[in-house]
Amino acid sequence: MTGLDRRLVDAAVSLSPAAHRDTRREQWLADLDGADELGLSSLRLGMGAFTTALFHHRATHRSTWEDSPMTTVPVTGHHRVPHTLRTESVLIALAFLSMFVGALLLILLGRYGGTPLSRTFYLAVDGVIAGIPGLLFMGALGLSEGGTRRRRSLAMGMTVLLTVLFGSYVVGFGRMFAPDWLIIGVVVAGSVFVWLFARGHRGRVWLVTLLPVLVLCAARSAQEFAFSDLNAPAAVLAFTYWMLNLVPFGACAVAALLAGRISSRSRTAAAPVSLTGRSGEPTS
Amino acid sequence: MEPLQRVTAPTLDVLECLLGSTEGPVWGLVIIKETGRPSGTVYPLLERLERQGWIVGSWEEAERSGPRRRLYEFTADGRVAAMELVAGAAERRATAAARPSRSARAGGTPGVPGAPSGRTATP
Repeated sequence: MTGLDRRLVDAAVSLSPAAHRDTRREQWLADLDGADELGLSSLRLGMGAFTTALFHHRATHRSTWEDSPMTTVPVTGHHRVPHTLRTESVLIALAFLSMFVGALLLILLGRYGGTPLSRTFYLAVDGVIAGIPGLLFMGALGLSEGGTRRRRSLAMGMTVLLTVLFGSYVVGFGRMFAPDWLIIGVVVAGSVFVWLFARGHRGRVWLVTLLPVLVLCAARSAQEFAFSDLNAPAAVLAFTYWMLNLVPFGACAVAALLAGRISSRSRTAAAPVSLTGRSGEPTS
Repeated sequence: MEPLQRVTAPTLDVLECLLGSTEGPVWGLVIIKETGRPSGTVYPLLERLERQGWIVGSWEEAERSGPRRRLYEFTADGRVAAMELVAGAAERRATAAARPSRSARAGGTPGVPGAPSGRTATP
């Protein structure tokens, strides 16, 4: 077992549902220990453990986990155990980081535009600012809880459309057909819509879709104000423009958090006495 | 025990490996080795089979230092269902193998597209 294999298993365990960590850790470490004995690559085992933790999140209690060995009670209920490290949140944060980096690269490109390679770089940066965040968002949708698989699949399809729309805005193609504010407005409101749809939210929670739109209006006013100073350096203006463009996307994350809080509060209010099931386990 | 929603080739490999064991519970790593499937495929499969009541896992009781090995064996119902599933798959494979290939039906030499099977072409 090398340090890298061990770290992979540690990462895999931390990504695993809390209820499964002890078992998975012991099982995977024992497998790493025995890899040489069976002529297997411990690195590949570590990678396998990592992908298992990353892509297999369903945390149904396994009959023989955490119990005395060889109990064979059939398991029928399915529920997800919350993770300590929320992978969805990490993916959303990475998506936002990618947009931020992409915006910085665009500002730099603005200074060195007009070179023969600048068009190629623009396309690459388009991927960083729109493509990668789109993929990460789809990953977060895939891991989101509350909705059906069909809803999540539809939401991913809608995300592809939103990603293409935002990408067309970044390269300038979309701006030939619609104003900036309209494209960004559709993308941010659409992102919140897609998130709520994938998670199966209902009722007044949907009002949070308006939050990024309102923030966009405020950001547009701030942009107008910034551009009214004709003496400001071009780099400062470009920086202000792009950072203010990212603010509505930050509002999307806030809207999603708010939606989660509102819906969990309404669930608690609707069932104040049924916090535990017959077996004593939490029901939500 | 719940029926399997999806039976893939790796699922059948894992079931066959467990059925072939004559020495009691099988160590998960041995299943990975014998099936030749990646651990990223076998680990989730074992978890799914265990969750659905086909197999049960237990910890090795041998006196060894370090983490304990995870062993797997069928439940009573799981063994019967796995035998049926594996037998059904073997039957389908045999049927498919016995079926003449398209080239053979067309009179060609199997495996050689377009080659005649001994019939002489006369003008």
